[in-house]
Amino acid sequence: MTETALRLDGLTAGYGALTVLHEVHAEARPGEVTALLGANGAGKSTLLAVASGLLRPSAGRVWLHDRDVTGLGAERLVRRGIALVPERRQVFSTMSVMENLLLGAHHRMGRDPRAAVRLDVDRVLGMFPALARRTGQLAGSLSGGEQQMLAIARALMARPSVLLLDEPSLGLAPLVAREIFSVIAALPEQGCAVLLVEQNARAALAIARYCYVLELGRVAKQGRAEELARDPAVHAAYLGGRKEDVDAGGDLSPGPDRPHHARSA
Amino acid sequence: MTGELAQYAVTGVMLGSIYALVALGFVTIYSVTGVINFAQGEFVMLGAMLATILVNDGTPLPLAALAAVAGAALAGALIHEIALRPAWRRVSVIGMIMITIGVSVAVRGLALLAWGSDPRPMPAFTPGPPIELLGAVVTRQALWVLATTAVALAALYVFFQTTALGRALRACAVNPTAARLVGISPRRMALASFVLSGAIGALGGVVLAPITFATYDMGLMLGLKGFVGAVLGGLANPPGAVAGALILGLLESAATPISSAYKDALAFLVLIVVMIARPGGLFGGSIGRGGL
Ligand SMILES: Nc1ncnc2c1ncn2[C@@H]1O[C@H](COP(=O)(O)OP(=O)(O)O)[C@@H](O)[C@H]1O
Ligand SMILES: [Mg+2]
Repeated sequence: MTETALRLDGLTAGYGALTVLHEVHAEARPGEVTALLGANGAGKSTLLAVASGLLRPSAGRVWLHDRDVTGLGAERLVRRGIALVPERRQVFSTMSVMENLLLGAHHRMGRDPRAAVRLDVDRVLGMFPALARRTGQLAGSLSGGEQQMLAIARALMARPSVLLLDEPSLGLAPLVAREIFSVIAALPEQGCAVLLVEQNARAALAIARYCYVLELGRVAKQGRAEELARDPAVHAAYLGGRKEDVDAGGDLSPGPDRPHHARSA
Repeated sequence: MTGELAQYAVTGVMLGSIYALVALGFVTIYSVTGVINFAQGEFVMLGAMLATILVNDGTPLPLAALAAVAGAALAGALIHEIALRPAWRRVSVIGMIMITIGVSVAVRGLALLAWGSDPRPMPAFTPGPPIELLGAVVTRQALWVLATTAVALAALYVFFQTTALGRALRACAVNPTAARLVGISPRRMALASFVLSGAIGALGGVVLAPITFATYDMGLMLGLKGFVGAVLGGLANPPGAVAGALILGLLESAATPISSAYKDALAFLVLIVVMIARPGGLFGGSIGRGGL
C-alpha cells in the first residue's frame, strides 16, 4: 500500500465563473519532495490555494493522511498539519523576524509548552543562519532571499506534515536560490511531505522524487522526477531544450533508495 | 496670560484624551477588519450610562466602572456577532460601514427607550476643589481623565506588543491571508477587535460621565470627534490617532472662547482640510491597513 500524506482527488476549482483547475489528481508522500511544474497561469498557485484551504474547490476532495479535509479553511488546516509558503513570501513585513516565527507557531500557543516553541525557533534558525543574526529586524527590511527563508521558517514553526511551497526561488539570485533549495531538499528527512511549485524546473526535478506537470489546469504529465527530466517534451518546455545540461548537471539521481510504487492518475 | 494658555492646554488635552480613546477604537477595528465602525461612540455612551446608573444605585465606583466596561465589551461582541458576522463576505466594506451606522442609530434608540432623555449626573470620582497646575485650574475629574487615558494607552501598547492575542491582531492587520495561513481566524480577530474597542470606548465614557453627565445621545458627537482624530492620524496608526485626537482637542479648546457654538463644526472643518491636503493623515504614509 502506498502511504500518502496529501491526496488531491479530482479537484475542480476557480474564481467565480473562471474555472482554473479541471479534475486534477495529485499526491504528495511523506519523506519526499514532489514537484509541480507548469507555465505561468497553468493553475499551480490555485492548486496550492485549494490544498491549503485558502480556496474551496467546486468539485473533488482533499485528503490529508486519509482524512477528508475538503472545505476546511486555511486557519483550520494548518492545525491539521498543512502549511503553505505562499507565492511572494507574504511575511508580516512590519513585524520582527522573531514575531514572524512566533506567529508561525500561533496555533500551538497554549497547547504546546513555551519551551517547545522556543526549541523550534532555535531549530529553524539553525537551518537559516542568515535569519539567526536578524531576529530583531523587521521582516520587510530583509532581502528577498532572507524573506523567503523567513517564510519557510515560519511555516515550519507550525510543525507541518505537509509543506506546500510556491515558487520559493522566484526573483532570487542563483546562489541564494541554491541555498534555499538545499534546505528544501533536506526537509523530507523528518518525514514531512513537500509539494514544491517551481519555475526553476531543473532545480525542482533535482530534489524531487515524483513530478506533475500542469498545463491549462490539467495534469498533462507525471512520473518519477528523473524520468521526466529525460522526457523530450518536458525538456523542450521547461528545461530550455538542452539535454546536455541535465546530463552534465548530474544531480538528478533518484536519491536515497526507497521503494517507489508507480502511481495512477 | 501663561495661566490662560495653560488652561486651554489642559482643557484641550483632556478633551483630546477622550477623543483618543474613541479614535483607538476606530483604529483597532479598521486595522483588523477594514471596516470603519461608526457605532464606536455608542460604546462611550454605554460606558457612561452603565457606570452612572450603577453608581447612583449604590454600587462602589470601581465595581461600577468594571461592569460598565465589561458591559460595553459584551455589546461590542453582540454587535459583531448579530449585525456584522452574517454580512462578512456577502457585503462590501461600504455595506459593512452602513451596517455600523444602522447599529449606532439602533443602540441610541434602545438607550432612549431604556433610560430616557434626561441627562444623568454622576459624582466626581474624588470630591474636592479644583487643583492649581502650572497656573491652570484643573478639576480633579479632569486629572482622572488624563491618568486613565495614560494608563489605558500604556496597557494597550503592552497588550499589542507582548501578548499572543495582541500579536495575532497585528498580524491580521498586516496581512490577513498570511494570518490565516498561520492559523489565525480573521473572524475571531474581528470579534476580538470589537470587544476591545467596546472596552476602550466605555472606559472613556466612565471617566467622562462626571464631567458631561450621561445622555443617551452623547455617543454621536463623541464618535465623530474620535473618527476625525483617527483620520488625522492616518486611520491605521495608533500613535498617530492619539496625536490627531489630542490636536483636535487642543484646537477645540482654543476655539471655544472665540465661539463655543462653532466648536463642533471645527472638527469637521479640520477633517475636510486634512482629507484634501493630506489624505494619508498628518503624519504621512497612506491610509491603508497594515498598522497596529
Ligand atoms: N484571485 C484570482 N482571481 C481571479 N483569477 C485568478 C486569481 N488568481 C489566479 N487567477 C487566474 O487563474 C489562472 C491560474 O493562476 P495561478 O494558479 O496563479 O497560475 P500559476 O501559479 O500556475 O502561474 C490564471 O489565469 C490567473 O489569471
Ligand atoms: Mg503562481
